[in-house]
Formats: sequence, structure tokens, C-alpha cells
Amino acid sequence: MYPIRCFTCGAPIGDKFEKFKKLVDSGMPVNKAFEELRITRYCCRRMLLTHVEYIDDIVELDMLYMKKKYKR
Amino acid sequence: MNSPNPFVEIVELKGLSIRFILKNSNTAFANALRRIMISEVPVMAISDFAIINNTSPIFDEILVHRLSLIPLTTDLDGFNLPEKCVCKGIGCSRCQVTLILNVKAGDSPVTVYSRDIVSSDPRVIPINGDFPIAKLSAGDEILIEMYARLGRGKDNARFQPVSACAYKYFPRIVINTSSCVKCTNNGILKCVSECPKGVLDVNVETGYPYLRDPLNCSLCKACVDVCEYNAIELKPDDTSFIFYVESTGSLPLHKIIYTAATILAEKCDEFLSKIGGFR
Repeated sequence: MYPIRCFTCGAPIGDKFEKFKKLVDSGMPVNKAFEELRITRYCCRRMLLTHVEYIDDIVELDMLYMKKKYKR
Repeated sequence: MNSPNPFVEIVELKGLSIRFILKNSNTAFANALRRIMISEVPVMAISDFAIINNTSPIFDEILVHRLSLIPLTTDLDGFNLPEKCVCKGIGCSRCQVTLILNVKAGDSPVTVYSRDIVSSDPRVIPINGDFPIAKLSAGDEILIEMYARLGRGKDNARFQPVSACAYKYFPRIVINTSSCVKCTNNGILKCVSECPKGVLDVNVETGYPYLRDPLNCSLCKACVDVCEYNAIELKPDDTSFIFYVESTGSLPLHKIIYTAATILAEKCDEFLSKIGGFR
């Protein structure tokens, strides 16, 4: 999952990932999206730029296999 | 000891960030203020957990780590530091707030946000409801009881009220008008065109360069290096400091700076009272 805070400076950025993704998916250039979200430092910018979100795959796997194995 | 009193001039206050100039001060004071803002101003954060149920694909430890990093709004006057509280750190309503996160997914995956956290005290809530905490697959449940308390940045990063907090020297530029020949390169003064930050400009009346935007000067001395006649002198002014402070949102900026100054004064008082016999 996307981290709550920037690893380097500690600024809260967890709430911005979904907004960032929405803006970039709608065709906005990445630098414009950063300005829109007021992310100015390059430490916080790399958090958004380099993040790979794979929690959805894990949830999907969880739904497929784990639920059958351990009935909760 | 007869120097004038230090004072603060606010340059820019934009949302959660502030830029101000600390004048008539010295490096020791500026650095003490910076370090106290980072590591000693107390702030609320979740620090104890009771995980009652967690069947989500996110592990307990990761969940706890994520929850603890969420900044909470803080009322400094309403709460005591646990070690200074009347309960001596056991946990009472004067130093502790209970929060509960209880989310259950139905037949489809659910994202848990910080807005799902229910606080027992309206003064202490997540600064923003949009922090994703976990994702649940169908039928998963999260039930956690959390205890927030005041803490200091030196104990854990979750208790840090500021993200970026830095200062730099105020630049002072002196143009020696007797040796400056106003050398140009393509019609622009060489020192002006050399400046990577573009903070130098030409004085329209005299034709000499001057520092138009001292706040953005990084004291790189590119203008000094390019000058063949040693007519420019650029020096840091060690009595003025340009501060840049950015809050995480849990405390307002003026409160952070004011509290930092108060803590510094308390520390000085304590020091003086301890060495009192030698004065």
C-alpha cells in the first residue's frame, strides 16, 4: 500500500496518492499534478512517481485462495 | 550583550508552510529553535494498540505502523505529556485518547480510510480522512482499539510536528563601485547572467548589479567567481536567518514556533537554576 508519510522528510502524503492517480489518469502531465497537489520537494515527488501499487493483486489472491483454505 | 532584541518577520504564510526571517539573532539560537521544532515540540500520535481482530491481507505490524504515522490534530493545552501527568504515565483522560477502528467488508473488497477511525475526543482526530490504511477482501474484519498520547519527535518520527524545517543565512552583497567596470556579455552584466537562481538584477539608475531577491539567493558565489575585478563581495549575514518550516498539519505553525521558543526558554531557566550557585 502507498506509504502514509514521505520516507525522507516525513510530510503526510498518503492521502494524495489516489488524487494523483486520478489526475494523471485523466491526462494531466505529472508536473502539473504535483503543482495541483502542492508537492514541491523531490523526496515527496519520488514517493508518488516510483510507487507500485500491488495491494489490489494481493486482495484478489486473498479472495481466490485464502478464503477457501481458512474459513473465518 | 547589548545587541537589539531578536524579532521575526513573516515573509510568506501559505497553508501549512511558512517562510520567515529571524533577525538580530545568532546561529546558536536559530539552530536551537530548529532542533526544538523538530524533536521537542509535543504532538499527538497513536502509540498503543490492542488488535482485537484483523483478518485483512495486511499484517498486524504493518497496520499498526501505518496507523501510528497518521497525524492527529493536537490540543497542546488540553493534554499533558504522559511522564508529566498526574497519573504518572499509566494513562488517564488528561494524557490519553482512545480511538477505535472497526470496519467489516461485505461481499466486495473495501478500502479502510482514516475517516473510519472513531475518536472518543473530538479534539483528537486524523487531520485528513483520506489516508488509506488497509484494503479488505470480502468478509474481512478489522477491529483495533488505539491509544493516542502526546510524545516528542526525538522518541519517534510519528511525534514530529514538522516535515521540512530548515534555515539558511541571509545574504549580504557588497558591490565595490570603484573596481566594477560593468562588464557585459551580450548586453547583460556578466554577474547577472551568471547567477543560476536569477536573483541579481541591474540597478536602472546607477547601472551596477544589486541583489533583487535575497530570499532565493543560495550563496553559491557564482557571481563572485565570474567577476574578474573582485568587485563583488557576497557574505552570509550571521545575524539574520531565513527559516522555512512546514507543518504536518497536527499543530498550526504559529503554535509550533511559539511552543519551540517556550521550550527553549524553559530549558535555559532550568540550566540557570542548576548553575545558580556559580553566578
